[in-house]
Amino acid sequence: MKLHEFQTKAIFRREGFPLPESILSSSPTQAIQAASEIGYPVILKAQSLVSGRGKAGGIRLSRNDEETEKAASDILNIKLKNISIQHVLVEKAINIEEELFIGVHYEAGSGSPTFVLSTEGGISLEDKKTLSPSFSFIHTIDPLIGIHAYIVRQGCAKLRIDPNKWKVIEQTSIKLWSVFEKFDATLAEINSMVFDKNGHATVLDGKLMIDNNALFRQREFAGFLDPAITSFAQAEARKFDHKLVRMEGNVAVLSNDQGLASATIDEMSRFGLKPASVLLLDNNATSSSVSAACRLLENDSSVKAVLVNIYCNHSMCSDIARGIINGHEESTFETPYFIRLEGSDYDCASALLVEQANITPTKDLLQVVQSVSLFINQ
Amino acid sequence: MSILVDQNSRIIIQGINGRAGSFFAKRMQAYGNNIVGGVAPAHGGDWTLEGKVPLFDTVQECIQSTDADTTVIFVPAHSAADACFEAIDAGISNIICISSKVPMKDISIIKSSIKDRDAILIGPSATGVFSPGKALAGIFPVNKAIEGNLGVISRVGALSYDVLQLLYENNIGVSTAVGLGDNCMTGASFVDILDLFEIDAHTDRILILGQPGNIQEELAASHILESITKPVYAYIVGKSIDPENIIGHTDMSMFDAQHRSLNKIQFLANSGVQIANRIEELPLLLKNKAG
Repeated sequence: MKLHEFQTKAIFRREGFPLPESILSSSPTQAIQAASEIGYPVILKAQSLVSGRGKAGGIRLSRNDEETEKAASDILNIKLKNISIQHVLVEKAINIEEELFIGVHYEAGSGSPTFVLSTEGGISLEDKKTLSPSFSFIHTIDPLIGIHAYIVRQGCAKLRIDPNKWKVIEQTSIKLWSVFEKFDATLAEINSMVFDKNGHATVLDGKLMIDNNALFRQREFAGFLDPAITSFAQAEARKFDHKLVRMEGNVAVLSNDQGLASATIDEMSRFGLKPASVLLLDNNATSSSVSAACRLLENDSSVKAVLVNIYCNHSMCSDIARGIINGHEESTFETPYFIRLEGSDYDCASALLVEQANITPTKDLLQVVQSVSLFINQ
Repeated sequence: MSILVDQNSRIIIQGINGRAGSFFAKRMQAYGNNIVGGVAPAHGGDWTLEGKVPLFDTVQECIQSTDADTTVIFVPAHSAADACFEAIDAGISNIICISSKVPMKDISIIKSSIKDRDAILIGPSATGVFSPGKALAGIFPVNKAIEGNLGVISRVGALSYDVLQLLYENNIGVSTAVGLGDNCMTGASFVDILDLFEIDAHTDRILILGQPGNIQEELAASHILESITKPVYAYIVGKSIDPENIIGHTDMSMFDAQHRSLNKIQFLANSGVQIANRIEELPLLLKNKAG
């Protein structure tokens, strides 16, 4: 789960990072009020979880109320990937002398947490291509040891950073690691830390991503779900521990395994079929939670057919079948189902589906995809 | 022969009284008859599985009494780290963690703790280890597999059951199937298991089942080129999925365009790995080489 800049900053501030003063606003009037409290010049920053706000004009400098009003109303009209901006962060503008990047994330190969210090500002660990080795220090962290000052010093020395700044970089890096650990982050970035002429350090921007699987012990973030990017259906799916991913096609895919779902989508693509959404059932799905999943899929107007590919290993096919039958019955739509089932109790499930819903399941994925293709292209 | 588990394995189950634990314990017991104990805190002294399997309060006691070498863990995600540490501390060599949705922080610390020990972690989210005709330490369906010389390493879940069934229908036997788990962070990797199959006398060739999510397939590709002499085959799903559309229960902050299935397939093909584009192509691909 990616946090907004203002959410990240609230946590950073609480943890004692030196941040410029900032106030969140959601209208031009509020932005002017915020700017007058902070004092000009200020920066107005679009709050978006979709990247590319800079290019879209979502970061603006303002010296007076007039400029603030214009900038705020411009920003609130920006749409990034069809998602409109809800909030503008008004922040004290800082004179920048030198920029530093500090980040911790899990490395894709080893799975180890990794510390990055770079003298290039404006990069991000999400886009590693831009990280140039000659300006960066990368250290694989042993999570049992963590980050200590000596590790950061190695980086400072390698990057030939002014020794007067080492102390504050050491402290900030160690603090960033403790935030990463404490909040079950999968990524924690300071981008960037800046120094003014007097060598005074400020953290200008930060990014935090929290491990969804750790929300059971990171309860404060459960309320951080952004309604702009988390649809009602996704929030509903989450209640049953299902996962719903929206895509652009017109066939809903219901599965209980990400590999099976991927194989299904690969097979669909051979017939020119595109998924509208993919719903992954929880391993412990019961027939009532399967019903809920079916209702969610059918309620999406872009869904013309539901393709089920489920291998029952933890559960019985007949429970899944009952769930589908009930969910379909309770739904107000007549969306057709195409079902591939496999696993324990298949024959019973098959009989139930034929008798009660007039759906004939099969064990053959190709056959199901062909039927969907015939239906969609008829 | 096989790797990790065989007919002489002494297997215990942590979380044997839970829903999944008791369900799969029955399957494992019925298949290999080598479940020697179960761990269920506060139930030590009781017996389970029709009175055939003794229960213990702790892994340590369980190992002392049963001389177990393999543990299969079925506890809920929030207790998975505790269960793994208990197993590591008790000195057991094969730790197979079936629990899913385990936080990355916990996995990374477990991985770091196990590094210098004589132990291997399969999972979390693992489907386990299955040596047909010998033993099951995990959740693989067992009725559709025969003994043979193909080693299978999987980073997918239920899709691997479909593959095993297809192999069975085509009379292709399996030495051992290892399900590493479909998490983006896992204990043992493709590379670790490739090395085990390379030195196993009864494994002639190796099949890799992969998907998007991390760079394990890419790392496996370079390792195969350098150190694996046995023929390797691969089936990688997710070719048609836009990398922005992340499926899966794990939060894949590590997922980016570089880790797309198409890249993985390219890497593996460059290392001489035979690629099946669709699951149906697997039997033919494997039969051609066998002859």
